[in-house]
Amino acid sequence: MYMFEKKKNEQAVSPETLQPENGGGENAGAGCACGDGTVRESLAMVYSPRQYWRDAYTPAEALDRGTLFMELDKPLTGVCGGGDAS
Amino acid sequence: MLRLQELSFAMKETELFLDGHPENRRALAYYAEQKAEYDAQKAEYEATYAPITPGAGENDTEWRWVRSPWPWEYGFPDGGAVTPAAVDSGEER
Amino acid sequence: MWIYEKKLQYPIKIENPNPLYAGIIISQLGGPDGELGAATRYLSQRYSMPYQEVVGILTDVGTEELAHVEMISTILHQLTRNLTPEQIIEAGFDKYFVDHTVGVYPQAAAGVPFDTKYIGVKGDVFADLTEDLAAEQKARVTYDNLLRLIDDPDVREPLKFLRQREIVHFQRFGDALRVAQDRGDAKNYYACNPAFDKPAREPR
Repeated sequence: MYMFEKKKNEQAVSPETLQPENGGGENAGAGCACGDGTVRESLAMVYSPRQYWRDAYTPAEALDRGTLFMELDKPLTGVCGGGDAS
Repeated sequence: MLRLQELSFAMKETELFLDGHPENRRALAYYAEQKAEYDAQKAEYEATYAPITPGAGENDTEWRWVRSPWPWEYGFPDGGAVTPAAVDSGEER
Repeated sequence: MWIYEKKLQYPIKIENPNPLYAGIIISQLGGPDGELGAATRYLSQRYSMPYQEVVGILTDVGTEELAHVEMISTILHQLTRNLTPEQIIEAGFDKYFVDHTVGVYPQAAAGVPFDTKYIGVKGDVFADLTEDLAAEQKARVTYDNLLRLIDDPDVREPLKFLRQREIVHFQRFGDALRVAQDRGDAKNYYACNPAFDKPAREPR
């Protein structure tokens, strides 16, 4: 996945999940508001992947699909386990 | 009207994105682009068909706001002509 | 304050009235997970939110939900055009008709009137945003269920649009959560409520 926006001092993070800075060990998941703009996971909290601005649908396509953003376009198929990840 | 709906939807999506990402340059540029076109299309629509907000366009002889169909009426999407009888024109009874 | 624009967010033109469909779609107006509840919830929660971005998201999503109230009301209005008494009775729409004719009255499909008890305003940043995430999921499921029951494409298309909006709003509340987390203490987000408690040192 691509990141189109990377702010100064911001840790590069995978959009899918925020990885703890330290790979594992006792303090993994303990979290730290470290003052350098980085955010790490802590327990007892849920985190949302960051959306990055990618090329959008055209306005006409967007109105038809219900969103400007392909990566948020998630239709109901009524069938579990099939279908492509979008 | 459809073009207005498309443009304002693109703007709405971008507004919501920008609320959470207020410094995203690409989103800001995209928004400005869509808004410029929307404003132009809206002015044209209001001059030709009906006001989108009360008092828009010329209201020298008549208050056009109450002289055009309302959005929930069957047949609204075409905008409807602005005539004194227009309030009934979109509805079957 | 609010500006009203005389247009629907998404075009709706329903050729064939169907009071049976109206009787179930009405839950997205006045039901526990419907658009009126969503609008009321977000627009009410925004007052106690301490972060600008979060207030922006609540205001702008809440305003969009009012546009969705209008869309659902439009669908109900168009589905109940030109009805005969036979159609009304056959569809089981008679009980609604007796009290409301073909007026649009915010209630759930089962007949329960809209209730503020459907919403939560806890005045706590994380509690309110977590409620909002759940609300969007429940609204999505309600649209899923309607789409399983409804065949008419004139009705399906706006419902599919509204369903997709719930998914986008879920991501937006995720954004709001991220903003609140960035401003909070990751060692313990729950040490205080930024909507109420004062910081340790007030800025001069």
